Amino acid sequence: MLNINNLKASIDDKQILKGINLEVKPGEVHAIMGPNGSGKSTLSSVIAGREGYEVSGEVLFNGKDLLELAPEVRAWEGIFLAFQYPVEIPGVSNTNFMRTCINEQRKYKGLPDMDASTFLKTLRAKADLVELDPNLMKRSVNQGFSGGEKKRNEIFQLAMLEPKLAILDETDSGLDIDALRIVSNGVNKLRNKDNAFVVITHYQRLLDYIVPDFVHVLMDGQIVKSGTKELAYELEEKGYDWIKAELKAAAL
Amino acid sequence: MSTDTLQAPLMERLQAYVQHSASGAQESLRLAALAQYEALGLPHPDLEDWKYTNFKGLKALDPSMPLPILDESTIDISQYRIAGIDAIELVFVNGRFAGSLSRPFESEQLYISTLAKARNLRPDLLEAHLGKYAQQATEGLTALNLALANDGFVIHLTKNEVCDRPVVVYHLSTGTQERGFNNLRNLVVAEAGSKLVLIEKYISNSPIFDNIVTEVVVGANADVEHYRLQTRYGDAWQVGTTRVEQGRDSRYYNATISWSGQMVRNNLQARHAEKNCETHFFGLYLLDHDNLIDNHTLMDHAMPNCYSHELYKGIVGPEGKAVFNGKVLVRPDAQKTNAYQSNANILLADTGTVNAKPELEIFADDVKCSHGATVGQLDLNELFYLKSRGIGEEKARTILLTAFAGEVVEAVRIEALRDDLMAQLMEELQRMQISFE
Repeated sequence: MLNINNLKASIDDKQILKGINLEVKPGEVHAIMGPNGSGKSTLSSVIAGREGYEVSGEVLFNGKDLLELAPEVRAWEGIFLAFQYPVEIPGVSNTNFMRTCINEQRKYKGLPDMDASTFLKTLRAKADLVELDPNLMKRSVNQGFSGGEKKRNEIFQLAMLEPKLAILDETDSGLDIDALRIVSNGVNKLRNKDNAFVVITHYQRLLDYIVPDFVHVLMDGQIVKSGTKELAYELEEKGYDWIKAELKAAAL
Repeated sequence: MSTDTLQAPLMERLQAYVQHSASGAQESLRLAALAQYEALGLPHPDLEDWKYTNFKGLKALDPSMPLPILDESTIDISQYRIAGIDAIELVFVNGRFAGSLSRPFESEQLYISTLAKARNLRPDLLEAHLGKYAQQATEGLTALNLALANDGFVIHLTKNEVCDRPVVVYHLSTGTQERGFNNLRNLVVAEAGSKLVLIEKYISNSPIFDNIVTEVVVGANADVEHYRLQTRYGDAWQVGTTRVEQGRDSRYYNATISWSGQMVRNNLQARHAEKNCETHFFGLYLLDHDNLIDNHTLMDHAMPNCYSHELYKGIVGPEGKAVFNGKVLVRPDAQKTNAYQSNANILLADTGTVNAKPELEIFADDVKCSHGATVGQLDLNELFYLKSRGIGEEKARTILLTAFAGEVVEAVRIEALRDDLMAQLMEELQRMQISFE
């Protein structure tokens, strides 16, 4: 589904990604862990198409070269990024925002607008999934939302848009354990054999709830180690220094 | 050669015009105003208040030259009408009241008529109020307006009269491609406990220069809601001055919405003459392509326990020039004042200009005042957020701009007018986006 080959990215002449290789297949959950400043958020931004990066290498999504596509086209093709810091959009209600997103996607696929009653039904069902207060739907996107509400709103949008590949960028940061359970339950209910998740996190704790098939360690712009969920426990216990030492030893 | 000798013959013509148009007390009032104009002259960029707004070529116009008189039956006002509002309507065409196009109203308690008629029938009302509030001693155009204006609307609500239909005044300029000079003088007197909703809509397909002065008196515990729309104003020019005088416990609510006109200067001034007044000013301006929209507001807190709230927003495209100058004056007696002002601008192109100047002058010590002015571009984080959810660049920009400007349109309390403006706003923003490409 997703093939990343030798992906490099820099911003203001500072190289952040230094040759990433990653393959994600349908039905898989990949966790990416790494210390601060290792390039985790840059990786998610580059996949989603944020401007301002100088990018080389290849990102293929179901055979299409993602780097050639505008961010909205990537979304229509099935990429979704749950933001680390969801953006407030004053004056645009959640409901209208979602209606526009869904209908733009349908237009791309040659489908007519979703009818009002189906839309509202879907909206309610998906809001239930992440236990989001229906009253928040009338409010401006993320405006005045608590940290937990913002993150739940990201997963709600994910549920509405049904992407093939969802990237969760530190969705667990700043969440208390109850909110974390709600968010994780939502994600687990959305998992199926046709979609895939890339979960970026600092904390192993999240991976108790969203159990990954693979864990990758991103350090200094490269994936330096990959393994199964046990790797996450090891990182939690020992930190990242032992990997650094391991790398140093290998380099000698 | 000095300008005085060039002006002299014009001043004589203007004097003859006033003497021909008026008699009695009105004549002496108007001649006195003309003398004030002679001393003050037209605004020019050397004056601090007119630094950014220069009506080039105004000097060459003769403000007493009559505008074309059109056959009212050839004019279709329906295309300009605000749909869905059952209103009392006054229509002025090229500065003249068009009776056959209007739906006026008159009763014992409610007088909705014209300045020309009121001069004959309500001299008492005019004597008590006309020229008593607007600043003809300091503003040349205001003095000139008082001297020369032959018509305008006059509204008088007696004590406790509630006008349950809005009054809509359409000002239409049409029928010529020459720059004409039009002076209209309006007066609203809402006595104690009365309530009025007033909408002024300026429409033009002529390059008119409208010099409008409106005096609004809001009596004790009275309510006036006032909308000024410059939304289909073509290439017209305007200096529109609204001077509001508020009595005890009164409320005045204004929204000024401008997205057309080649050069527009709005002066909105409210004075709290007694305590416990409430005032709201909302403004929206959208402009590009060599248009200039200038809003000068003055909130004069003269008495204690008053509240004012002001929000002006603007979107400026390529070659557009916006000016906002918002002065809040809190005089020594105005203790316990609450005054809030905010001005936010989005610049769509670096060839656009915004001159934003909030001015707070506070002479009382127990007050709450705040102000803020911002000039920025569309937020790239917001834009990316929308795009990452599958909303294309152009649509995302329109959504964000509509939301930004919509905050002011939402302040319009008449639902039909709000819906009408919202629909037009989206069209206007799309047009601006297209011109931006």
